[in-house]
Amino acid sequence: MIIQKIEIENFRSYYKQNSFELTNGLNLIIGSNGDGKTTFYEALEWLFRTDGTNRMDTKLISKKRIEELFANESDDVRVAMTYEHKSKTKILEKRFHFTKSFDGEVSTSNYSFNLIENSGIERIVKDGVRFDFDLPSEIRKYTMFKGESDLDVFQNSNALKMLVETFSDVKDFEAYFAFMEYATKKADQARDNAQKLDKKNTDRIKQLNRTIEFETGTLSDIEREIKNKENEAGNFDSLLKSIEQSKEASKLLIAVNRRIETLSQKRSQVQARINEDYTISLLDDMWILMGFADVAEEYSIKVSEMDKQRRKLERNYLLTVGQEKAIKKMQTDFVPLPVHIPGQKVMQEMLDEEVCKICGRPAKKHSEAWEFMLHRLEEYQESLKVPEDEEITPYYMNNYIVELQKRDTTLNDNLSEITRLRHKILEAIAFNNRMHDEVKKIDANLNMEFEQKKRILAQTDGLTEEQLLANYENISNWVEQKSKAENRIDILKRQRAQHRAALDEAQDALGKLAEGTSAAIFAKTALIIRQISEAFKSAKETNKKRLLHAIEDESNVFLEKLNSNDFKGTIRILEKANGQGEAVLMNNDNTRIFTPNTALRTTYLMSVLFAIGKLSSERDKTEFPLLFDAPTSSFTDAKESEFFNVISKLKKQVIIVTKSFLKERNGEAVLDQAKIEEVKGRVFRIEKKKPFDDKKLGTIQTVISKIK
Amino acid sequence: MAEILNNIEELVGKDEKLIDIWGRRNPRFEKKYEQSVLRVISDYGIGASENTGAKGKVLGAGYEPYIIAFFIGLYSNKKLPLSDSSENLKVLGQPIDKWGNLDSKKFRHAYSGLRSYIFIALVAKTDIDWIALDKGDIKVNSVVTNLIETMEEYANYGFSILEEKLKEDPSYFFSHRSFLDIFLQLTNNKSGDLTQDEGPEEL
Repeated sequence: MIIQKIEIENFRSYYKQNSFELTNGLNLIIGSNGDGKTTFYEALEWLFRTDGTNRMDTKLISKKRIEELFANESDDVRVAMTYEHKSKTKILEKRFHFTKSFDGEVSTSNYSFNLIENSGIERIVKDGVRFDFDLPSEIRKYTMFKGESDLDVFQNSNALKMLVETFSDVKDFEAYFAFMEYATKKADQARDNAQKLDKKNTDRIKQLNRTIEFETGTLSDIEREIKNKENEAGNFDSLLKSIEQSKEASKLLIAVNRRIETLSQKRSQVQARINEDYTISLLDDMWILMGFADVAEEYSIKVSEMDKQRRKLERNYLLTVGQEKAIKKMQTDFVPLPVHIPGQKVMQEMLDEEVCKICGRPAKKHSEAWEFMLHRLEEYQESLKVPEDEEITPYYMNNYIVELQKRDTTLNDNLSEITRLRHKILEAIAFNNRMHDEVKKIDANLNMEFEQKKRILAQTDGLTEEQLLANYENISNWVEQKSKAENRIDILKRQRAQHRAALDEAQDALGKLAEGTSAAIFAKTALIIRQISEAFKSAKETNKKRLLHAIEDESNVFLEKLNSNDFKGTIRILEKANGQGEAVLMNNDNTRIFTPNTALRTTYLMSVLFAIGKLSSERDKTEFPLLFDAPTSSFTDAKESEFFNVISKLKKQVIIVTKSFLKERNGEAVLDQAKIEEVKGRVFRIEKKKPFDDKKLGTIQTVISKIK
Repeated sequence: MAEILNNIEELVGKDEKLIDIWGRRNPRFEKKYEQSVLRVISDYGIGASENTGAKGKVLGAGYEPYIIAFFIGLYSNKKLPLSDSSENLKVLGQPIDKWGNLDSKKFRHAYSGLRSYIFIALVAKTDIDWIALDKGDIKVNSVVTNLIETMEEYANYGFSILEEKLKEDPSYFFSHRSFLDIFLQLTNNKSGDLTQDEGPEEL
């Protein structure tokens, strides 16, 4: 299929009629931002839509055209493609009518979608849906690509199956498969019927048939489970592969995080030991007494002097008072009987003996002399009685100095503590400074770790820290799940072999029983058909593999061309357990390159596309054009020129919409004529018609000029 | 008879310690320092509060800056008489015997003992005829008044220093070392053991 012409009318920025006459080879449509590149691509997308959706939409209509219309006037939106397919020229055309009402509303009508064939002079109009016969919708997936990310066709789950069915001879086997199944059944049935006649072995035959039935059922169960488990293992394997790159990073990140945690803990521990509430300590810990020793000394001297003086005064006082008392006492003590009077004892004797021993005269009791003696004795005895401890007035009314003195004792005890205070304070400051230094050191280490962490995260393409950590957690889980599935597959495969043997045995036995009977021929037929069926199955596999290898080989040839002076690796097309395909890039040591740079990815995926295209044309199947919207945005200038050169030599219709080949001059994008000269093929320039109002969509119109 | 009966108080008084009598007093300070110093560095005037730190204040109750001011005066050995006019004076809300009873405050501990050291300093620094006091020739209250006056004059000098520092740099006391450094410097004369590392922290 070769596209000859594309016409776009009143479709968004394509005002009135516009057409692109295309060549069978490289076609470049060059435009800057907003010049209508994507609109061109989307017009084709709209045209190719055969599922009946998105038929008419006022959003598709050229704003400029709408504004231009008078009330009740109308026009058409139309996209048409003229193409040649199998030597016939056809026009695929989609259109609808739009009318502007008096109040400025726009309504749509008369949708039509046609495939017009010109056969001689006859013009046959068919439903546009029939375009699917020329370019099946599945294949369109391999023809139109929007941006670089869209290129991996195998992202589509059944792409490989589609590819195989479309381009290999496998399709031709399918009809035989159905027949084989039918034939096998029939042959078995014929054999069974024939054996029913064998009365002798009825029970044995029944038993064998039951065995065959059971084994067949079990085998299909096992096959199903193997398939499931293979799927499972494949999924876990691709999950593991997907994080292969980040595994290392995950490990590093975890180690860094662990170190950061340890350091942070240590930091807060050290920080907690810092106590710099110095002002509070002045009071609460009485650091303020750091200069108190002098004051204390002053106090001590003062108080002890006071105390000394106090005691001295008191002693003097007491002494004075004591002397008076002593004198008094002494006076009392010193009141002896006069010399001429005998002692108390003698006096008592005299009274008792009633005689005066001084004068030698008797003195009768109660006589005047006796009474005189008695009186003297009593007088004397009376004089001996000194009053019992007469109270001495204390010298001091208060004991405040004593209080001060007592405090001085405690103060003296505390003095050493006070003198040590200053040292203690300086020690505390030094300790805190040491701790600060420690924190600074830890901070430096923490910074290093944070830098390391930043580096790790910056180098793991778009993965967040959470994802990296989750990946790490997942690895062991996935590895376990994968090996579980694989172990199960091993077990199932052993079981499958056993059951197959049992089935074969039963079928053999049944065949042997048939020997010599009329059933023998049917049994042999059934066996042959079954063998043929197996052969087909393996041929189908081989065929598929051959196709994949062919695509691989072709792809690598293209990759070599597209990437001649650069690292490229080798393209491999893998088939996963679930039947999905995958185009991957391998290193020479047979390990997968998971993250090729964007330009390399683009070229290797494009190589695959070209390979598919080439194979299809070689087999004279559907030759189809490739349409790319901005596929080379990650390319350097040199690579881009090389790329377009290779494409122009492909002998394949390729339409590329791009903003390459433009260069900046005086703030405007102008064509790089020199580069355009180098490229073989057709070149169109699309741009906004000037002047336009940068605030008004209704003034925007794409104009097309053919450069070469 | 009536005289003897009147003595009942006197007997109680005899057993009471001088420090307790002193402790019931509320010292005075110059009103101007309320705004310029006390409210700046303490919770003075805010009432009972446990969130000193949260308000950015360094000290709690008003007596804390008073103690600081007193020790500045004491260690500087400089007294500054208070204004003669009682209009210019204010009395601290809490009597001395409540100072440092911090047990209810979070992150602080009591330093009630500090009161005794203040008392000791006052005794050391005030000229009093103690013999006359013990003899009863002069009244206890007048002695206590003398002690309090000494305290007020030391504190008054201290406040003037604090005010000066704040005038020079309103954020002076936000540094955790500012008060400590004042005292380290004031008491450095003898020890002379302040090494470079332990010198005032640069701000």
